[in-house]
Amino acid sequence: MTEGQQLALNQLKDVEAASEGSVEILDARLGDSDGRLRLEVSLNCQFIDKLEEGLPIRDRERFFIYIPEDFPFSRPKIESRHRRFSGYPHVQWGSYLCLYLAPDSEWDASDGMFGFLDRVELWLQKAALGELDPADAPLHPPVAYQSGDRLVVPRQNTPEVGDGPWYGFARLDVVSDERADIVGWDSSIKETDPPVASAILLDQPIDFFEFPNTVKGLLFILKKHGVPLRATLVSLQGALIENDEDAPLLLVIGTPMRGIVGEEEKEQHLVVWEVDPAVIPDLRRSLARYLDDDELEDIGEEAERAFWEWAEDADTTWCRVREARSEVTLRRDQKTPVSWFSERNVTLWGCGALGGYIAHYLARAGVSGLDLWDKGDVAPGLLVRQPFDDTDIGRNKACALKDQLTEIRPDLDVEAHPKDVLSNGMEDTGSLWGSDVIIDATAVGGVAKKFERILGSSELKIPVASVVIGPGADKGFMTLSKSGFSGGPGEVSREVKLESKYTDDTALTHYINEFWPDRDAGQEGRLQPEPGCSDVTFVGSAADVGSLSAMALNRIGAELLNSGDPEGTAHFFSLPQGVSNDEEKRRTYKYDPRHCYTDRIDDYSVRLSEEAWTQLTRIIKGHNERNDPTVETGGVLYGERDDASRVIWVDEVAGPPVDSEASREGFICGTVGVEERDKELRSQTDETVTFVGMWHTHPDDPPEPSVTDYGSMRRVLGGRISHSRKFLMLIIGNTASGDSVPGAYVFSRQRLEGAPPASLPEGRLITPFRYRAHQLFRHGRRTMRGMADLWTKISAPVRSIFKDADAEYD
Amino acid sequence: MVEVMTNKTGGELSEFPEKGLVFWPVGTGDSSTVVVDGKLCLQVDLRQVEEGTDDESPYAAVIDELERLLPVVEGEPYLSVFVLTHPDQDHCQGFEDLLERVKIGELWVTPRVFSEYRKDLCDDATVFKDEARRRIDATIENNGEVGSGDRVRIMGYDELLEEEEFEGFPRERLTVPGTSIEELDGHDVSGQFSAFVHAPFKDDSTGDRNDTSVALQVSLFDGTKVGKVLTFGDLYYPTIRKIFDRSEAEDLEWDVMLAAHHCSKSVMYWQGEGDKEEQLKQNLLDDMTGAAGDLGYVVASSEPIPSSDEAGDNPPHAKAKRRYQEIAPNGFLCTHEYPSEDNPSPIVFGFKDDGFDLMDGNGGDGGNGDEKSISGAVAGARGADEPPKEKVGFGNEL
Repeated sequence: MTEGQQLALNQLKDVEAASEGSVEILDARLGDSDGRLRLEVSLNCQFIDKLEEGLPIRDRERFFIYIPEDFPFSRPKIESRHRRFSGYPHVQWGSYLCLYLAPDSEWDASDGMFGFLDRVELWLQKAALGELDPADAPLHPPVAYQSGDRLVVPRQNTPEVGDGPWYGFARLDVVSDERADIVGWDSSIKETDPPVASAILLDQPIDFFEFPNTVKGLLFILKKHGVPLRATLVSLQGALIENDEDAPLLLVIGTPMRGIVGEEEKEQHLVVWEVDPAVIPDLRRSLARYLDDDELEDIGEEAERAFWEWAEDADTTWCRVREARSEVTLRRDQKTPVSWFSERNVTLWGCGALGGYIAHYLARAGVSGLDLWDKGDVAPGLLVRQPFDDTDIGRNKACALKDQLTEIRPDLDVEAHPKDVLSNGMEDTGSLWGSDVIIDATAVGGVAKKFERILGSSELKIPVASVVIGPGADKGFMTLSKSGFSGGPGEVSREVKLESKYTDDTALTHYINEFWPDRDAGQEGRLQPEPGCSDVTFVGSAADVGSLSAMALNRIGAELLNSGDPEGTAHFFSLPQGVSNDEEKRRTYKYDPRHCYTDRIDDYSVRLSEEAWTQLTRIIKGHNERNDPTVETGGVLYGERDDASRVIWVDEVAGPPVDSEASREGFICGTVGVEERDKELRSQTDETVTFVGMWHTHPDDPPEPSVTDYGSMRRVLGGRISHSRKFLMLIIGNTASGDSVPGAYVFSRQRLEGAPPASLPEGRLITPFRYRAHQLFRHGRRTMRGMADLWTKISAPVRSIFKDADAEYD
Repeated sequence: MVEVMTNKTGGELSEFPEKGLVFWPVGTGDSSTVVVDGKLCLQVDLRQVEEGTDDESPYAAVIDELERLLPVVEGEPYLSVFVLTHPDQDHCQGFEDLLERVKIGELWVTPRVFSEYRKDLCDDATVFKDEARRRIDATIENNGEVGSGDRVRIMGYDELLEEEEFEGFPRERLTVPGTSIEELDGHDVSGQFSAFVHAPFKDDSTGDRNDTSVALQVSLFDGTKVGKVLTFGDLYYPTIRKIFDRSEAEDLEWDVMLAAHHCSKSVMYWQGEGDKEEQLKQNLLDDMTGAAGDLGYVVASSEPIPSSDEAGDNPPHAKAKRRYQEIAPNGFLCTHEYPSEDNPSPIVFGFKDDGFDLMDGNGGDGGNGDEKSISGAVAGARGADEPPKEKVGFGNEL
């Protein structure tokens, strides 16, 4: 007896001693072939309430409990001494009690026989009331004990079964000698293509809890449920006609017993009988019966008799069946964050330390399509932490990854792009439209910036996530811009970085320092794997990057499941070793979308934060209340311009400096305090927020630049009064009527230089331009993309305006 | 409907079932009544302890009850047949009183009673023996032509009639084991009643008195319905094993089985030759299980059954009860635990659609109240980690 078995016996003896007769050990003996200890116990069941429809439990019940050698790490099994429970739910082989639904998690080794007996009693209590399959629990379909080596994987759901059994064929995809997948169903021999299995789908549940292990028993059950013996035979013969001579003969039997007890609609539960190859020659000869030849008919009949004789005492061989039908298998990851990805299309940029793992997780999460982008090849050193194998060395990462994923999910629609996403993949927003989400795992800053540019100039509205990890590979940073958010992950990064400048949230500060280290600080944690010949990278293991990738992906999924609001979210997270403070393990920040306007000159995307927009409207409202609303007003804009992304973020709107002058004709923006405020902001935000331009109102007119406006730009960008290269002019039109229509114009020196002179009529704006611009504005953002073309067409008169304006000011 | 009156602990019946069985709470002893119809009743063994007439006593006043409930024929309470399984006091106590107060149409006897020394028999057994002798003599004298009140049936072997004291006893009044009786006090009850006699075996007639017990399968019929009860008196494992070995399956079927020898473990635990200790005879239990009808009950006619056995304890035995609980499809009933130990009542089986039906039955409380559920036992064994509630000394110098 092993130490564990002795423990089990001792525990049971303790129970017996405490039981006052309710638990009685009648026998304990070693000696079964598995080395198990067999304990014969008698249990008092008088206290168990019984119902007629329940398990017929007597006042006392006798059981054999089998203690495995490695008890308590393996759990015992229990069998009734009699066969009275045979046929009842969760009784297998006629006497074994199926105690645990999920044995690995439910079995408590520490509690040993104590917990085991508690479970036995609970099982008996439920069984006695007929509640082992309670009304809302999954039905336990009949068991077919696997006796063969062949594996059958049903992938395609069964056809609908009307009244009476359905006869037909299951189309097979023979994956290997041991495995065949069911990929289709045909009711007619004319329609089907080999290889096939015979199939009989019953219209009624069977009232047996187990499929028999004899052919005779199986035929009996089928007959009892409306399948005549002859029908079974003909069904087998059908598959023989279709298949090659040496193909195995399988009979798929379906019973409508998959689902929830009490629910009307049940899916078919499938078992597969592999007919003994020894009888196949007889079955083949039996086909002769159908030939129009007396002699052959006799041969056929004789062969048929031989089959029935064989069936008298043959055993059934049951294949292993592993369900892949979505109709009958609940995904094990349902309701988890990654369940969002199921059935969706994902574009993944970067297939390395982060993207490689993310791709694996996505494939398993059930994405239907995956676009992989990576220009890089697999280097030997990468195997340390990227999910490639030795044979992948030298291959493109996206291609190698595609092959791996196809192994996991043959059905996955995966495309590999062995290219640089920056220069090849991003502009094609048409193809991006097909994606439900884009994940940027390149850790290439340019990708985020370029994406901001693309977002600003397109109508692309899909969630985009960016994942990076810190230099120590112990912290992760994921930014997600949901569909409808004003920017991409780059904008979210900017928001959180900016927030960190104004906050006393030390956790955020720590993370910011991790991801935006001081440029002067050392490159601690950085590594150049092949000195002189490779990029500097981070130090980190497969375990590190795998964990961080998983954390990032979970956060993306959770966010997308959580809300469809057009928000941006930034997530910082850490491996346990990455932070010293529990509070810092995870940080999430949310941002509302900004107010966006497309620059009508250079197609910049101008994005006012909600706060800036509020400041602006408050100032105009206050001005209108204190002054004649037809008097213009204006002020200063602070924010950040990124010429790569062609985005100007406006974070602060200031009212007119005290030395400003305002009239119905115009607004002259003063300078008092502007420079100071600019310095202050630069200092506060590490040069992120600076002066970016000015705003003013056109109380009675649309937001289009006037001759004066252009003239001013020429002055500002001319280099004499400012060193600005670009200047944002934000005009708020129609403010007198309260409509407040903004128009954004990003002027640049290049645009002003070389503008040819032209004659112009009097007035602020020439009519054609005014008309066209107004029209464009009304047509909205979509047509703004045509602005560049338009600009060319109308630039000649505009240039002349500049010229005049210059003259005026000079 | 049969109701158990509540004014007497130990139970009073308002009436007999129209057809059925009554097991009386008479302590550890047997006292069973078979009601064939409104006129014919059969009493198997009798025990009325003295305190049985006391209102507070848990014991039934069986004789009072029989006198009150038996059909009245010619002005007298009438018991068609009295069967004595064997002449032990716990099976015939009060017989003298019964004989005086009730007209007993017919006695069923085993010859063993006549071979006992007078001093070995209790007073009631002696009265029984004398009454049986009287009837045998009258039967011999009248060549079997005797009326109710003088009738007697011997359960034994043909050779018996060759013995001097039975010479001239009519063969038709002798029932050989392996055959059935379908006549009660001169009434042909075939189709209504049948008693298949399993024992005593001839070989056992000189051994231990318990081994000579009558074993019967009594069947009651009501149209197509049938109820079968199996009684083994005080037989032990070897004889019961023999019965199961020798009999046809149908003669062993039971819906109610009276646990032999008042729930003695000697029915299924036996130390055979060469055994160091008694062994569980599972094969007999399996055979009993196989013979049980769907409605099967095991009835123990005994005092409440203890929760455990000590060596040398007399019946009833906890171990036996547990084994019966395992094999009784509908449950195990003890006459002194039904419906409760404090207030036992006769166990009455009437007839329903399928056969016997436990009347007024809630199955009893199932025990002496000390027994535990499995989880209760587990909780006791698992314990709780807590410090001792009092000082605990260790070491040398306390």
